[in-house]
Amino acid sequence: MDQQTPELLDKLRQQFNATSYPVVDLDESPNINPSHLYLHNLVTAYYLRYQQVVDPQDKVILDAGCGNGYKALSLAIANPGAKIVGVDLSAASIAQAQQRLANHGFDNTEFHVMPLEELPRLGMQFDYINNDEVLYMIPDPLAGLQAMQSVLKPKGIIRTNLHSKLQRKNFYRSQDLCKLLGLWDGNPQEAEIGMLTELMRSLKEDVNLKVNTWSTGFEEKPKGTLSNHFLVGDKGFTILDLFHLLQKTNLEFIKMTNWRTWNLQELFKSKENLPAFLEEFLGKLSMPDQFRVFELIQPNHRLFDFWCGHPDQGNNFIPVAEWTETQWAEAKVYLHPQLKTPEFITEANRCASQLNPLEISRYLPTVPSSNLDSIIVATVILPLIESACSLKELVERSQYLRPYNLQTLEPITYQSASDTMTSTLTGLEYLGYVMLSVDS
Amino acid sequence: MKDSTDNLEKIRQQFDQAPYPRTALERSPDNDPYLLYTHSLITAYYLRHQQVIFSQDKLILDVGCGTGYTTLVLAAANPGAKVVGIDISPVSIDLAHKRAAYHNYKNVEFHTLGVDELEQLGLIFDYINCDEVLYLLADPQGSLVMMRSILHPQGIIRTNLHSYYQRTEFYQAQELFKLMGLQTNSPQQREIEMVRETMAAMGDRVILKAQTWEQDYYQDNEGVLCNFLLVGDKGYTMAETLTMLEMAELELFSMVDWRKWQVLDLFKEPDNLPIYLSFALAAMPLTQQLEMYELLHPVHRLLDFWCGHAGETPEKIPVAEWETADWQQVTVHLHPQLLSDEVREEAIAQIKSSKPFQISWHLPLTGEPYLIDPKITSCILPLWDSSQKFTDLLTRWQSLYSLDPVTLAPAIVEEAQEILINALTGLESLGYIMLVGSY
Repeated sequence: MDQQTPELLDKLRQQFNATSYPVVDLDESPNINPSHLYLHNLVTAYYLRYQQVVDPQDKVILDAGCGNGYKALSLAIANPGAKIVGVDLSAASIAQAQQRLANHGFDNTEFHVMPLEELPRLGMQFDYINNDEVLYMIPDPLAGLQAMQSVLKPKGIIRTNLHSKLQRKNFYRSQDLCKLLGLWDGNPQEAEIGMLTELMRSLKEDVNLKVNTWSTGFEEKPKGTLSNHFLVGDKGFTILDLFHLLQKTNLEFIKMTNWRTWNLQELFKSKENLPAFLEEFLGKLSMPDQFRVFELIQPNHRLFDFWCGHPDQGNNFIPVAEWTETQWAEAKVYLHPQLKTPEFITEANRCASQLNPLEISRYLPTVPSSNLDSIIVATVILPLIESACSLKELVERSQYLRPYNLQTLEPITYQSASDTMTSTLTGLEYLGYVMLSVDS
Repeated sequence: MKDSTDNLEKIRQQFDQAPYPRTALERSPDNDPYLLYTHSLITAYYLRHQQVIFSQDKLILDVGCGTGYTTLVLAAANPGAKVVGIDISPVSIDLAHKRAAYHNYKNVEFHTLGVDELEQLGLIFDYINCDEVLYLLADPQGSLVMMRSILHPQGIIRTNLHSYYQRTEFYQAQELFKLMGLQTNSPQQREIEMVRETMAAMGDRVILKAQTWEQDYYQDNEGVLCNFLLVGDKGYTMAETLTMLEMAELELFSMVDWRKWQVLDLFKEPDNLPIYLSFALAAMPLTQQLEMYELLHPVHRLLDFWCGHAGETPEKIPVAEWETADWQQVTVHLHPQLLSDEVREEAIAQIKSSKPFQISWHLPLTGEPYLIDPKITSCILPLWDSSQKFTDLLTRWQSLYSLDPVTLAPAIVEEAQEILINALTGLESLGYIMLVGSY
């Protein structure tokens, strides 16, 4: 193993003691970032794995590498009633994290200064572990992941991520350059950032590294310089590395957190018109190979940001797109709890009554821009705000609201309304706004 | 090592089916002055030792000679040397024989032989050329060790590896096509078409396509083969290359295109660098400067360099730092690539018409035109007859230009000397002449 491990850990600790991460004011509330709340909501991950809607009440959540607590606060807000435990290498960060959560009135929390590898010392088991922007930096990612695996409940879920070697190749080159120039001999600070800035400024504009890694924005924001050019311990991984790591820790891949942006088909001009050999190749790819091919063709994701868990616990349900009438008849439809905010409810009611489209992606940004027709708001969203519904209830409501076919003026049959509703719900489910579960 | 045998067999098949390079049989190396220049022992030896050697009776090996074009270049660039070309593809060797016969080269021979069988030749070489080969082999370090074992103590190896940084996207493409099964057998027309169809189907702004694909590839079979389906192709960083050389007890002493590897050229104002950087650069050995260049600006497909036995590269004082006293001992040589009647006639014609002599037209070394002032041309004209002592050239200068052209007073010796030193330093730095001290 790496003999410089203790030294590297020390440098990491210094790096984050000196500049705590992320740079977010203690009083800023993550309410303003709905995509964080969606991501950090246990309901999101559990639904993707189990096709069930869980209640976060009394769940135990670990933020491993919590920094100064911004994400721990997101976790606390996104999961009402859950207990939040945060650990971090940097004592300075932990102190801030503690204060941040207290400032926002969360008291069911605890924080500890410790490296990832010592997690078992806590003597706790977790329902959810958030491990964001950490694993690629620590000296031994395998040991880190193993430690998290060992404190994960059987049905628990880990969210973690790794830097992509291919996407970040230019920054790794820049880091190698800084090392070659001796800018990493100590722990990189203002002086070293200044030296790199000078170097970049004096390079001709068309020099490859400058074109690919430098923007004048960095010069005003030393933070960006630090995290990309000077991140101590920063390592890049390929998809193959990711799956090897999971295999060695006996963890099962669940999904990329941004899985909608990993769609292989979308890299091709026409999905229907692929050469036969190519269609066959893409059709037969194993799940890891699908990501591998995506990475080779389109390495545009800085992070492999994913959920994983103990093997053979979930992922064994029938996807909604393949449901038969049996599943539909038994299913309950839920609105994603992140949408149950006063602002959203007011806006949904306004859109339904004024026949305006609802820009739902503002409240739950699972995709860049998405609007719901006011009739869908009225027939599906409004009742789900009140409580979960069965398909039958939603179909009847839609028949009541819109009894006639607008084109033929014939009455809409139950079957026809039901077909429309299942297709609407399938679309809404893909986008993450609703969840469909056949639980008892 | 079953795997590497398989790989070698694939490589052999690949080149049996598509012998490389596809240089026309009729093409004479005489039309490639830059290639002749870089394949001349004199060029490499001077860069390493600041000494001039002669190619007469030297023994040269061309490893992976393919269809033999480089072998002929080596023979043409090194008169009196004997050149041996080897390749694993018998089809290529057959073409190489025909090429040599067509051009009537007598001092070349060819053998179908792998790099790992080099010992069978039973020869020790003064110069080994191994071009576009090493990055295809499963064990490049082993191959370097093998070449070193048949290299004369002062001998030189010219070889190259593919640059990992420059070719990253091509390696992604190769991995993709490997995954698609297009490299399981030696790739042929069918596989080439599948590459084309796959790339055509991809969205135009998809990263892999935007960074690797060009319209030409729809027609150019060799381009598709060499970049997307090349069996065994691997990329190396400069750091990896240097480590490999160290393990093989070899040392790099110059890039072949060393003019294109100058770190200072990457800066807006090379004379006005951040202070820490000027200090760092001044203290950096050549190898680190090369690493730095690569990290800043990986635009060269090849890491193409000369190396030799470790510890054999002497410390040299760069010509620019020579004292006036050092110059008195210097002998000036014209690079033999310029030693032709044609070039000499041209030089004389320009002297007579008082026009600058465009030496780069005869030997393009920098990509930029390089002109010699007619006064300098007439002073160095004797170099076409033989090498000259600096002091003799200075005497010639003084007799040609005894008067100050402005005041008509007798010219001052120190000034004349300075003009001549500057001119020779410039010509040397570009590689047109060689300057040898008395040691």
